[in-house]
Amino acid sequence: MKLKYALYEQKKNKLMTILFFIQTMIVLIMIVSIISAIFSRYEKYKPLESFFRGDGLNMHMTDLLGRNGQRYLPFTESSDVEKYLKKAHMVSSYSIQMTFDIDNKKNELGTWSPVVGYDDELLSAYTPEMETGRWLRIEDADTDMIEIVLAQKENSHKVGDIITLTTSDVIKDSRKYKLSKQVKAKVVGILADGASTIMRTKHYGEYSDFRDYYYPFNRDEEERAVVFVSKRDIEHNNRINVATEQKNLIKGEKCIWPYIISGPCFIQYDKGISKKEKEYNSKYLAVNGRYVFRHTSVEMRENSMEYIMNQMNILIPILIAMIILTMMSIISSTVIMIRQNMHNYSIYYMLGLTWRKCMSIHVLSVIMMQMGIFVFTIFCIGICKKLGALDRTVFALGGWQLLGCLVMIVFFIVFSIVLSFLLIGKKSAKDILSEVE
Amino acid sequence: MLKLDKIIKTYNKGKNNAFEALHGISLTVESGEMVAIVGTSGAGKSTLLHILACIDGYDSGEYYIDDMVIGKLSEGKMADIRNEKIGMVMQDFALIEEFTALDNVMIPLDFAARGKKKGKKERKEIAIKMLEMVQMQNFADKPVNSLSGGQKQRVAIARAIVNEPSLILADEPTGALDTETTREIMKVFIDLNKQGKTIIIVTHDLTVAEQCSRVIKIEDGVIIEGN
Repeated sequence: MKLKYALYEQKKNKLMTILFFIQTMIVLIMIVSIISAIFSRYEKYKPLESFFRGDGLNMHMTDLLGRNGQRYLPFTESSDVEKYLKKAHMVSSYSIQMTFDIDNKKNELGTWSPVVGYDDELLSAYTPEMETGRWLRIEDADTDMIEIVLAQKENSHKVGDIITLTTSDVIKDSRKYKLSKQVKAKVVGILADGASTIMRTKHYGEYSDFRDYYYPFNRDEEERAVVFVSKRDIEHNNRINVATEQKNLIKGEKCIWPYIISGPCFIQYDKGISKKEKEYNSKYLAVNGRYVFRHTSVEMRENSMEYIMNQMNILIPILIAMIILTMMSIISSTVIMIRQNMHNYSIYYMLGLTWRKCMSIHVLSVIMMQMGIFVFTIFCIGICKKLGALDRTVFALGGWQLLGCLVMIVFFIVFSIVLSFLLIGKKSAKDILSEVE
Repeated sequence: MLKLDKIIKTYNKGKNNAFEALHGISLTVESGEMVAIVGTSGAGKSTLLHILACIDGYDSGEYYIDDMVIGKLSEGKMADIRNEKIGMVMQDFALIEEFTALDNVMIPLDFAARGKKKGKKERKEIAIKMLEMVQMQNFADKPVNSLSGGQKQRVAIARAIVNEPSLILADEPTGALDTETTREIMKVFIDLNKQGKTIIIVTHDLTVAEQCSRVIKIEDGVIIEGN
């Protein structure tokens, strides 16, 4: 019964209902966009949060020399570096020498696509936005087929393509010699245009926070495609193929796909490390490493949080101002609606409803309307997202955005109800009926 | 059927502008009577009617409907009384303008207490029957705001009797109507009275009062005649 009269209330006050709809929708869209903006800042920080924890050093390296105690040999494994440091754990990315010709340059010298490899920890910490397919998985690293993700300029490849590598840079006279056994790599994902990866920095450390570790791949700006692999996948492939290629390898080479530590490197100190040990590590890395930038974990953590808080300090007041303005509008709209409905409530009272039940019809009407606005707004945002209208924006519809909208809707409902009780409760049906007489 | 015993009603009680509208009104109306309450403006007619309709309370005395003490009832019970035992007809018709005539008549049926509420089909049939009683069945699906004053009042009467109340209270039911329509509406009330309904009409119109079996005159909150 109440539903029928609650629906009628909205139908009767069409103009007010539309006004409510529009103003509440605007607030909900603002909430989604601001929460998305805040989260987009935090979302990039979160994957690196664990690497900034505690004490340590965060770097962007060109290379790190000193492998096997040899001053000019670059390190190829983060686990090897740990042997030279005191109470430290290292996670790194790698520059890998592989003969991918993604841009179809037909073997011109120096045109192989750069290949970026990741330690398992770094690979699983962050999943970039994919246009199609998926990001690399650590559990697929031990298969014979190398899995790759491409950031490509042209649509030269698609997910599922198998790329055959027939030569290697470390085979002597590679124009003459081919790999004895072709190596196959499968494309499992294509990076979205503009997607960021944890890679060489674009900003050369200017931010001194987490942003320095992200590199957006914009197709129209890049010269070459980039290939992403799991370092362990390459390690496995080296192991199974190097024996058959041994006789053709350049002297001194021990694998067909050489790699070195390069790019983002994160060193975390164990608990209980002494000041002296930290100084030793710092000095060792300073002497043997070539950097783009280097910061302590504390610096990275504090600078990152400062940036995020600054962003929130800009966005949150905007949101609060929007909410206050909308509330003021809701107050006036609610007052008008209630005044228009008071006569009807007095009739309902005369015909056998309690005054409380009359108010509950209004409350139900408010709840229905607000929930309807919530569902409709989310639906519209979902449609826009599906149609691609929100691509290249930070606008997202995740759990926090939905929760934010729901909280606001509940707030508006409670506010409207309290206002209704204050306005309706002040009057009696007899007063209203007497006014009319 | 109903009895008022020394009813006192004061507005703004305890304040500087406190005003006693009814001074110890006592009144008995038997079942099947058709009573007119007349008096000048501010005499206390509407106050009395609101108390009779259980729309307003009183400060002292007692009000009985069929030996039931109204003053001791909860708000919920009072609402049930208004729904089941009393039918109200107002000067301004008190209809929901955007509803159809049928929807308006169905409102008291929709508000029936849980356990007494009938199914939707049955409610509709009863409402149509009530409209037939006031010769408004052909206007069932018309929105009320498209009807004339007399037609609206007929719909209001149909709504007032849809739950078959034993008491019908009318506050200046012909106040907004012309002479011919007044005559038609009074005929409806008379027909209802012949069916055994107790009717109390508050009116300024002496021609309306003359058609009732008893006329009660009220002045300055006191019944001066017809008690």
